[in-house]
Amino acid sequence: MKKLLLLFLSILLYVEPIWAQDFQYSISASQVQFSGTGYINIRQDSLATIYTAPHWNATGLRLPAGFVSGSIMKVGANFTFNCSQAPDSLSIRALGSDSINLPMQTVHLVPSSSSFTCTYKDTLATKSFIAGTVNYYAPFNFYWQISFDHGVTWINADTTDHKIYVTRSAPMVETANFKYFHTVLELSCKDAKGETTDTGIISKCWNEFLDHVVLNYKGDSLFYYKTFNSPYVTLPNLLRYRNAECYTFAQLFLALIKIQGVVRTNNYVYITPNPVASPCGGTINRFLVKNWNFGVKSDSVACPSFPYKNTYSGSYITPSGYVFTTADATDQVGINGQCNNNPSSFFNNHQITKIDGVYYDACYGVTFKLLTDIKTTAFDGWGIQLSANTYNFTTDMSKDDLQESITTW
Amino acid sequence: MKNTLLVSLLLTIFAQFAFAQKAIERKIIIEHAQFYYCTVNNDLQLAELHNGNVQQNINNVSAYNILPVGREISDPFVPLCFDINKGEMLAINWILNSNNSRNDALKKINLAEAIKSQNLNPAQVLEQSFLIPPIAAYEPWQFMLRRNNTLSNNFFDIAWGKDNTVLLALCNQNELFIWMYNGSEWKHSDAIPVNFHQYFSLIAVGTKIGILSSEGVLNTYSVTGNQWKLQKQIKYPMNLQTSTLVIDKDNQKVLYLNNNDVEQSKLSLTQLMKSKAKKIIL
Repeated sequence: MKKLLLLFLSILLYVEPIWAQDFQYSISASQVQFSGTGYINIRQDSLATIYTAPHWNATGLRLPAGFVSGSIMKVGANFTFNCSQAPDSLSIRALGSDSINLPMQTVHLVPSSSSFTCTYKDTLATKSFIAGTVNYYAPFNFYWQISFDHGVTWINADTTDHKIYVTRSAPMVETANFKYFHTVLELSCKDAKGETTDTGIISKCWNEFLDHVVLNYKGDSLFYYKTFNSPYVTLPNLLRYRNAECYTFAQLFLALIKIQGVVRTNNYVYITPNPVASPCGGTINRFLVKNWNFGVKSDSVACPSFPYKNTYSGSYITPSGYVFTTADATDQVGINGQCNNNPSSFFNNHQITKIDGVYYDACYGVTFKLLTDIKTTAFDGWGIQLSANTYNFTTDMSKDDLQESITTW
Repeated sequence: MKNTLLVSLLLTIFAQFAFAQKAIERKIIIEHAQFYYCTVNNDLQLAELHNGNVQQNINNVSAYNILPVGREISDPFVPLCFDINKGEMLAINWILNSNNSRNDALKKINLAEAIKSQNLNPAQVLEQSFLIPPIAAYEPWQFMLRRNNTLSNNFFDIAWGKDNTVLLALCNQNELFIWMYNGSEWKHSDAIPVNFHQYFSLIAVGTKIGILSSEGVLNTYSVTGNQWKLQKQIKYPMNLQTSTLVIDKDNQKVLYLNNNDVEQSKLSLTQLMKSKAKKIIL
């Protein structure tokens, strides 16, 4: 019995090498590209140009791919095969993250210089991304395998790693300032990973703003007023220049939820003082965000209701701060802004968002239930301009309220 | 160091945009054989005034002056709202900036002085845009907010009326009001029901006032005291997105040109108007 077994094993071992390849070779992926009906055209932050294929190459190119949940991605790849005696064809497949695999495909080896190339044609994966769920793959791995015997045995060939964003629903349609920016997808999918509902997505995306550190996809800070006189007011410019005004952070928060297909109208709220006339003349048209220090009341006789007076020559604002010639009110470190512990704080208006009845201020990472809560929680004073090159202030917040105008962004 | 960083940044932005052809905002105005039109720098939102002689090709005017007024970059799009009469520009300064008050948006700018002060850097011009006092408080805007502070199909435009009155048309939630300011008080029409989904243009020639919709429908109004009356409605085969208005104040005429004809023209403005412009009759 023993001898029979040994004989059988010998035959097996003797026969086996005939079927197996007996040549030396190497194979590596040279490029990978993604497509498909659920594919999202992701834009570069700085110039808004759309990333195009390939998404991955052997020399270091790494571009993300985006898909809508429930869709099936299409993947294609090219390989370089080095061998002195290559077969005419071989089979390729890939095992992917979450068992999203690429099926076997027979590819032909084409001579190219001193090696061979072969192309795994754009092919639908074996299953879709889980429907109705945000996902964030960092990385999504493809373990590429080849077979020389039409799929009987598989040999590991190469591994490619990719960043893939999966949105819960189809993103809302792009507009002048809402676009499928790389950073928007990065933050939204990373923050809301696993979420399926609107409220879950909104809540998780809002978390991005709570610690006052908002970074782009590369890890660079997005500053709320890196310079006191930043002129940038649109989301594209926030992502491009990373130094922007309040409107851009409101837009960023809304973009994070719109990219997931969360629809909320009347979401964009512009707030400014009611143009109430002051007893000294002029109308209230400024407010001071905490903290400001109030010293001498220079105008307590001329204008007792707005007794604090600041004067300036030419301009009162520089990149690094406020420059007043005389100042009863002086800016102090107060409420932290995004990536900035002392942003600009002397304004005519401010931009926040309103979702499901709650006011969200993405610049400071705070929420309010009522409009009136904003002045009591966040302001130190109202301002008026009685004459050129001056501003007068009061700390009596009861003298005015904020008015809001609401649009849909 | 003062403003140095911002100025360098702003000049870089301007350099990038210097040679890109930008769209003409709404219209070309002709006065005393000079043409004026504006483009807008999308990063700074500021208007760039181009002017020359009507015997010139408007595309050959490369230099421009940055003005302390502008418009925001947003949806829905509302182009720069302005008019020029006797060297004075009337404009709605709709720049989005935390220091810019919408209540102070209505500005009058002496063009000769604005051009003279071009030694200001863009950052200073931007600051000027919200420091220049308004001609009047923007009562029409406050009136609109009191009626409804949710903005939907919110469009507006401004024009010089007869005897230097200020005409302003403002719509929100499908209600249009036409306003007139005589230097001391505002008066307005009753609510005019409209169905605007894109911007309109306000046109004034003599005592005639027209609202030209995006789709080319012109409603002409007359006003007597507080009574605004629709005189006529004409549909023109044009739309505002693909056309540029020409307000010829020298001949009290309003015309329009196809944008392609304007952009590709190698003719003087006079020749271009003669060969391609179509009339709009108020």
